[in-house]
Amino acid sequence: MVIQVTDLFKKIAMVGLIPYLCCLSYVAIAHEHIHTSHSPHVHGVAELNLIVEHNKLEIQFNSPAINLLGFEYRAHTTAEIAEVEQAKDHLINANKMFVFENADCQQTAIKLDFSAVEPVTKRDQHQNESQAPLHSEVSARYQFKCNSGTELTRVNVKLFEYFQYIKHIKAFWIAKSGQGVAELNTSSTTINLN
Amino acid sequence: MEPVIQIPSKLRLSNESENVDVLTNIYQEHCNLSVWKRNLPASLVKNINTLLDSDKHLKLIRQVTPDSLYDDIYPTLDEFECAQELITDMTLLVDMFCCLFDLKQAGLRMAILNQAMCPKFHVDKVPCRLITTYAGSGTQWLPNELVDRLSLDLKTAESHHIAQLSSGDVALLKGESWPNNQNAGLVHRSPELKAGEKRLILTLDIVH
Repeated sequence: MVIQVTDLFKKIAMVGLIPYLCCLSYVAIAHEHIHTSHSPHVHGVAELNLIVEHNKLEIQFNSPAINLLGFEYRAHTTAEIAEVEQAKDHLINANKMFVFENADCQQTAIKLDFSAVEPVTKRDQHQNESQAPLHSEVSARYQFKCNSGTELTRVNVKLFEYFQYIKHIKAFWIAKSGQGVAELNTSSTTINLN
Repeated sequence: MEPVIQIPSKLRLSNESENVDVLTNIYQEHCNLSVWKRNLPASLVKNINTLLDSDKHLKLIRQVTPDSLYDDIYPTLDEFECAQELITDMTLLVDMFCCLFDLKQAGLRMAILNQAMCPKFHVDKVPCRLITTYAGSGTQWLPNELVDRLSLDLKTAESHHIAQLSSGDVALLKGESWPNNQNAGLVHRSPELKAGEKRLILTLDIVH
């Protein structure tokens, strides 16, 4: 495969971590930096970062909250709180969000971050009543362990089916075969990891 | 020295008129906002304000056709006097939107808001979205030549350049998915609302 100077490469270059890409723990650090980079606020667009190393797969999903909830503020009505819970219920079901072809991958960990839209608690009010959330992104971070007898080559992304305001997903990936960027939309939902 | 990253600016203009035909201007490459300026009938404004003064929570997300709209929406609004007139107007807009983009159906979102849905300037990754504010402050937007495309905000912090639609206006906002419109979608945001202020908004999206 011809490795091109992809957006992924540029992004990681920005945080100066290219020398460490062979090491998953450093890639995890790259994840954090990718996740926290300030990209323009585009409604309808979400981002996935996938890293495959041996039999481990890690996926980070980042999206403006509006794509999942229809709003970007702290939920306060019963209906808004229910929408936050429903979005979480969808995302936590990793097997519904991602279908792995040619490989059997089981979810081992998940961490959701909906802190930008969670209802204000009494403690928040006490700490800083007037301050709005610093960002309006939500994220989910998944870890999977895949059957070591096969190699994961394709990931089918089902997020479009559950969140109709996601129109486009930019998927950055790193795998044994190299790295790349996949542009996904409702009619093209598969990431080819080669 | 840090390299300066710049996104080449494309020429994009807004069009507005009291003539409904202005909406077809959205097909022009250089147009990324077309606005049909109109005043809603006083009776409709009055009755919508009654709806907003109530405790009614409203958030509808549906795929609708001009023919289905009445049955889709009426049950939600039938206790309010504005129902008939409002749904008649919405049917007109859905019909126009479907006609303009040759659609059988549209993705409708209708909501009463008491705070900014998204207070940050942004673009939409859609081909085109219709937005109208039936009551309350209208959507804010930025003239293209004043936009920093990296931050999606004004190049200079001169907030008097922020433009705003009026209630009743019917606006077509060209998004980033329109052909040849990457990095040229209309930059816009929900207006900040004062305590107690509410808006009734309708958006229509292209659905195939």
